Amino acid sequence: MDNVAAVIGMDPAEFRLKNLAARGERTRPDLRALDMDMSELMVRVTQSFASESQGSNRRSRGMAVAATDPANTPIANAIVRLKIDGSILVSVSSIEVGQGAHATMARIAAQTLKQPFSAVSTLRADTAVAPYDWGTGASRSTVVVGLSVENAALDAADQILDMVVDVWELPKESLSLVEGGVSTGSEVLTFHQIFHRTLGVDSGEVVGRGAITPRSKKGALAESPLFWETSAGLAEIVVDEDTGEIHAPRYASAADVGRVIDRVAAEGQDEGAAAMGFGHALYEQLEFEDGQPLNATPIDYMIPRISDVPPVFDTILIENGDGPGPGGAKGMGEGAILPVAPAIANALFSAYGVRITDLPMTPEKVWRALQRGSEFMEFNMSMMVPATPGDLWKTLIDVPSISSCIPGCENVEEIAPLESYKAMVKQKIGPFKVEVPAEIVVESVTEPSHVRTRATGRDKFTGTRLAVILDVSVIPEDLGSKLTVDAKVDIQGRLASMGLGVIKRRVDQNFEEFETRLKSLLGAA
Amino acid sequence: MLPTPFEFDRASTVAAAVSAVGQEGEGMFYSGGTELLLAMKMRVIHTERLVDIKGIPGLDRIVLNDANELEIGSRCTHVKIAGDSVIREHVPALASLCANVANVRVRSVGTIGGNLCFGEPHADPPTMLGALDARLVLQGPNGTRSVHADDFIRSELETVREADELMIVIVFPRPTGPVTYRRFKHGERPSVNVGMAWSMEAGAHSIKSARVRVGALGSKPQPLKAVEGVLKGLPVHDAHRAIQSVLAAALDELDVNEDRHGSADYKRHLAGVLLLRNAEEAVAMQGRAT
Repeated sequence: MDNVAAVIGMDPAEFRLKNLAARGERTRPDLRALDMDMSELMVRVTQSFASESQGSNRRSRGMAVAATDPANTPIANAIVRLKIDGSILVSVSSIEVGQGAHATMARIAAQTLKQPFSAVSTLRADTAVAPYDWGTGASRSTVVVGLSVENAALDAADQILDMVVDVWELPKESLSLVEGGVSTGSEVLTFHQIFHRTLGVDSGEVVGRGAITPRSKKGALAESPLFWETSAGLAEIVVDEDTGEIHAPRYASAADVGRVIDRVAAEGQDEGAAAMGFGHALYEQLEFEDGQPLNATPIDYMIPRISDVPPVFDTILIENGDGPGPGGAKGMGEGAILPVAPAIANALFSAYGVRITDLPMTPEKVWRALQRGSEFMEFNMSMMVPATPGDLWKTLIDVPSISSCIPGCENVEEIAPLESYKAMVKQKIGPFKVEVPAEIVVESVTEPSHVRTRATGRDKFTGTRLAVILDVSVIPEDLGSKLTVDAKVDIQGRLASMGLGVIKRRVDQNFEEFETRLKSLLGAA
Repeated sequence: MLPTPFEFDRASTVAAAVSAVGQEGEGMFYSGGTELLLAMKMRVIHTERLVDIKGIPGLDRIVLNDANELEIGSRCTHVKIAGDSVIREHVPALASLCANVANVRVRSVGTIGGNLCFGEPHADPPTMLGALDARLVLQGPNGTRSVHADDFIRSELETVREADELMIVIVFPRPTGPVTYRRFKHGERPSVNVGMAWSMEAGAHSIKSARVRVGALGSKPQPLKAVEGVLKGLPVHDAHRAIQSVLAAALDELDVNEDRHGSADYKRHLAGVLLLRNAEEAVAMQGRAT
C-alpha cells in the first residue's frame, strides 16, 4: 500500500482511507460483508500518537491495517448449573491455556444471571462430562461457546423463574433475577427459599443447557466468517543507521472487538499478539543447515523479551456492540499480530526509502538495505553563455536574480551574504508534489571561476531527505563563457522509490529552463 | 534429558579440589554450571565426577592489591562483579559488561572463571580482559602458573588449561585511563564486541599506550595492532580521527567467521562502528577526568 501511495505521491494513510472497503461491503462474494469500520481503527491509532509531536528526523512512523477471517464453526454446547446457595458452575469444553477463555465464560454466565463474578466457577474441561464443542481456536470461543453459555444461563434462569411462577403463582413478566435470588417486584426471594418451597428439601440446582448450531439465530451465524478480526497498528521506530538495528519506542494497536467482556484478559491478548508480531518482524527465524535446525533452543532462537517490546504501548479496544457474540462481542486476540511487521516496514520505508520484504528485519538486512538504498545521482551540465566571464560571475553571485532563474525556487532568504541562505524549492513531478524548505550553505568560492554550495532539506509531504552538492564553474571561451554545473544529488526516502529516471528527466528539464532564463537575464542586462 | 550418572564432591580447599578432579576417572570443576550442566543434560559432556568449588573460601574475593593490581576471584558471579564497589570505582566498563552478560539467571550463578574456561567465542569477558592486559592464575597439582588473557583461549571451546588445573584468580593492572567496551548482539550472545583500554601519560593529555581487542569474530579475541600503533603517544583529541585513518586496513586484518551472527563484511563493519563509539566515549571520559 505504501509503495503504491509513494508512486502516486499520496500520503499512505490517505491512500488507505480512499480505498478501504466500508462497513457492509464485501471483499469477496463468498465471505461475510465487513462488519466494522477500518477507518475508525486508523483514526484511533493516529489519535493515540497525537499527543506526541512528530518525532525528530531519526524517528519515523508507519501504519498498517489488517483483517482476517477466523474459523466459522458455530457448533458448541454448554451447561450452566445454578445451585441453591447461588453458586454457579459452568461446564464447557473450551481449553484454558492462559488466554482467559474460562474467566470469559464465567463473566458471561454472571452477567446473564445477574450474579457476582465471584459466584461462578468454570469447571476444568473434561470431555467425559463437559458437552461437545468443535474446538478451542480461531478466536471463536468467546462468540460461539460464549453464546452457548449465554443460552444455558438463560435456560437456567427460565427454570428458576418457572418455579416462582408455579409456586408463588405470579406472572413471569413481573419477575427478574437479582443478586442472590429473584425479585418479584415487592420482595426478593433467595434461591434457597425458592428451592426450599418448590422441592421441599434444602438442596438442589437447576441445570441449564445451551447449544449453538449453524441454525441458531435464524442462520445468522452460518455465513463465513462469523465476524472479521481486524486491527490497525502504528509504529514509531528509530534506526541505528550504523548497525541497522531497529528500536520501536512506541506502538499503538487498535482492534474492533465489539464488546469487551474481561478487560484485563482482552488487553493482555491484544498485547501478547502484538509482542508476537514484534517477534516475527524483528527476531524470530528458525535456521536450518543440511536439514538440521541450528537454533532450536531458547538460547539461540530469539523471541522478544519485555525489554524488546515498545516501552510505550497503547492498546485500543473498540466497542460498538455490533458483534455476533454475547452483548455484541466479537472474537479477538489474533488480529494484533498482523499489522506489526508491515507497520515497522512502512516506517523504515518512509524514513529511508528502503523496503524489506522478507522477515525478520534483522539488523544486517536493514544495514544492507540502507547501504543500497541511498540513491546518488550525478548530473554534469554545461552551456555556452554570450557574456564575459566577469559579467557571468557577477550575475551568478547576485543571489536574488540567479535564484529567479531556478525553476521552483521561491522565497530566497539571505542569512549571511555568500555564506548561507534559505529557500523553498517546489517541484511537481507527475502527480507527485515536492516542497523542500532548503538550507543552502556556500562551501567555497574561488573568484571569479568556481563556487561550491550544499543544499539540504526534507520534503514536507513525504519526509524524503535531499542533499545536493552543486559545483558551478565559469570558464572563459572565445565567444563569451562556458558555465558548467556539476550536481551530486542524494535522495533518501520515498521519493527515491519513484525511480531515478523520472527525477533525472525533471532535472534535465529544469536545467533547460534555467539556461533559457539565465540567457534572457544576461540579455536584458 | 538427564545427565549420565556422576559422582559429586565438595572441596573446601583448592588443593583438595585439584586432587579430586585429578583422581582416576574424569572429573570436572563445578561452580555456576550454566554451561556445564546444560551440556551434561544434552549429554554432549560426560564426566564421572563433578567437584563443587563453591565451598572454597577466597575464590570470590575482589581486591585492589598492594601492587596496584585488581584481583578478581575466579568464582565471582557476573552479578557480584557488576555490583562490586572496587570494580565500579576502577573499571566501571567491566561492571557494566557483567551487568549485561547473557540473561539474569546466568548472571546470578554463572562465574567469570567458568565463562573464561568454557572458551565460547561469542563471550564478553575474554575480549575485555585481553584489553585490560589481564593474567589468569591457574593452580594444578604441581603449583600455580599465570597465563596471559590473550593466550588463554586456544580455539573455539578450547583453552590452554589442563583438566586438573583450577583457575583461581584474574589479575590486571589498575587502569590509568579510560576503559571502554561495547558489544553488538541480536540474540543471547554478542555477534561482535570491542574492548579498549588507554594508559595515559602523566598530565593525562596524551595516550601512552592503547590496547584494543575485538572479540566474537574469530575463535578468540584479536588485537587491532594498527589502531594500537596509531594511538601510541597521541593527544586524546586526535584519537578519533587517527583511528578512522587506519580503520579500514585494521579491520581487514581481522579473522572473521561467517556464522548465524552475521556475514563477515557486516561483522567487520560493526567492529569499526563499535570501536569508533568506544573512542568517542573514551575521549569524553578523559575530557571529564582532566
